[in-house]
Amino acid sequence: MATPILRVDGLSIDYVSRFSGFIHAVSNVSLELNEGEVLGVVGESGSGKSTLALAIARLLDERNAVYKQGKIDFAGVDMVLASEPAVRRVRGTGIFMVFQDPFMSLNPLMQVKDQLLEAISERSKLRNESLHKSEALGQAVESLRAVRIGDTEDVARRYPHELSGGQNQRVMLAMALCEKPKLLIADEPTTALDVTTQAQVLNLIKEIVDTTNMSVMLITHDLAIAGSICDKLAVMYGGMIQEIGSTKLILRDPKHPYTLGLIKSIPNKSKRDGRLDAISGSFSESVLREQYQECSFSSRCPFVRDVCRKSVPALFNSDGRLVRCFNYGEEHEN
Amino acid sequence: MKTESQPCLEIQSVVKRFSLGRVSSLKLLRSRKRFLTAVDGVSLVIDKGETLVLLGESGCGKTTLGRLVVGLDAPDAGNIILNGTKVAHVRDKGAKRGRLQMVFQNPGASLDPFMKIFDCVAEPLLKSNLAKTELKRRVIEALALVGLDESLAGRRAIDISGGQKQRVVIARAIVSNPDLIVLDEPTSSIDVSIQAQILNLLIDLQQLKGFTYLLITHDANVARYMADEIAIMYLGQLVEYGATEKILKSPKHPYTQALLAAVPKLEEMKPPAAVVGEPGSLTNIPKGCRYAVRCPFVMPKCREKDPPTFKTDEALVKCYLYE
Repeated sequence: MATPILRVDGLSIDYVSRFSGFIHAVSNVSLELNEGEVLGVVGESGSGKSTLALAIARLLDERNAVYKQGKIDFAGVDMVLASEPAVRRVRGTGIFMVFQDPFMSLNPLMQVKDQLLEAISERSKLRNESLHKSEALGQAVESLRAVRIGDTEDVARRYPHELSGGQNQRVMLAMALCEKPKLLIADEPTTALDVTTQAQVLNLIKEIVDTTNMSVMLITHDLAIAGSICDKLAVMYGGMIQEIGSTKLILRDPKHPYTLGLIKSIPNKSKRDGRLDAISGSFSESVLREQYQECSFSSRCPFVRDVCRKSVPALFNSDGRLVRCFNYGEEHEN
Repeated sequence: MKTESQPCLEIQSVVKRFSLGRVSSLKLLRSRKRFLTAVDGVSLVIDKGETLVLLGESGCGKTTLGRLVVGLDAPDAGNIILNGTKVAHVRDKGAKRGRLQMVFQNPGASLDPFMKIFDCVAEPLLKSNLAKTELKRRVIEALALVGLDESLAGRRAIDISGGQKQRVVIARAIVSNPDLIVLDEPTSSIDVSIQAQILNLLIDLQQLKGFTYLLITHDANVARYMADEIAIMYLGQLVEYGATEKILKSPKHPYTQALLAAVPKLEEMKPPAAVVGEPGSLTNIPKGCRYAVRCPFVMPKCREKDPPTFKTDEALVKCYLYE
């Protein structure tokens, strides 16, 4: 049996705003991620995917975000209740996050190699390793070589603004290699990149997983990107997981109407072959305000029934994956 | 090739340079002006009622070309001809209003957040001396065409959703019945679940009203659905140009092949094929073919001389492989 590195159990996160009250950004999310596994969290804006990622690393702004319910167990550490120093240790050695815009995550006034050295020294401090400076520099250059950045020695001496977006994203991944985390959370890591660079970065992430046994949580709005490197998928809408299971099962035979709609709306024909199967309507933030009143997708669902407007469906087991839809069972949440 | 149908837009060897300021390598020597050539000798034809898609990555000059077409920038060389007359720069006195419209990537940024939706859509008609009732009729008609209710007209841009904003921007573009609409990445900043709705809307409008589109995108899937013809740009030049099905089925230029292979495909469930190297930069253009440094089929002469455009049965290709 594979060992789970991350276990999220019934997690609910609220945002509190003075003007608009509560927003239930994440509701009752449960998932497991094993060592060396890649999980894709797919959803559009407002689905709660980024909130979930930030909650796992406990990077939410505590002034307005509340852990309302549930547990996050990361390699034995309770990320909801752990003390700040314990969480810092996890962030330095256990979880590494890569964001959409690498330029925002890098220090514009530091050379690439110094930023990598900082990551290495932080890691060795937290792990009580003693490391000579020349060894650390060797590791930094080695990590740059591993992400295939071209002229390694030259790039190491450059500043982020002298590098392209794709190169900066590689520097972030090199930093991840320096930290040697157990879990890499990548939040839309390729959205700001060009298509050809995106293909390179996706291949690189896959290679890192294969060689280091790192686990990856890839957050994206693009089902095809998630499908290209993920073992498991979690499709989110309105703060809830709507369908979760193996990538192959979900992409070959989607069960939830939202997953089905997403797959069908990808343009794969010419305008002469007819209209695209678009999902009707649009996401409205109001579904995040009234919790457990109705299925959050009901206003856009082509298969909607009366029961969908009265309560939220539970997650049902159907053909080896979990689906939150009354077409696959009768029970409802709370 | 284009004998039966009448061209709506003709772009003839258009060049656009931007100044990079003065640079001096030695202090004693006189400084010299440096330029970045964003669009370098591009020629295109769009027939009436058709869609041409400009496909390319960031920095290839596709948006600059779009801005030249609507007259937001003036070309340094070459001509842009719309229905027989040259496109004038927007600041020129003789520039006619309403013949050209542009839809930008971010609908939120192209609408005044505090302006009423009605006024946003009516703007292209303000200089046309229309009677008030006629103006109102045209605006309401445009809103109806993009699937927005009349009741929305009194609201402000900050009160409506992203998908609705993009519809308002499209309504504004069609209200003056333009000869050509330039769509610059119209779906890349809106949610995936809305994207297909907007693409359907654009095609419905084209079929209903016969609009001509120049669509700028980096997304091969969007290109497949929208385009009658595709032109692929790399570092300011066209590398391949022809009918959509033919280019997508058998891409000729090595760059087109790499670009299409890099798109993740849902049914494959594996990482897409990656090309080597970084996209080149316009400030440092190599000698010879601009794609030679990344090309897997590179030959000695590619590094010597820039290839001309060759005509194959299916497309125009700027590559020595098709000599």
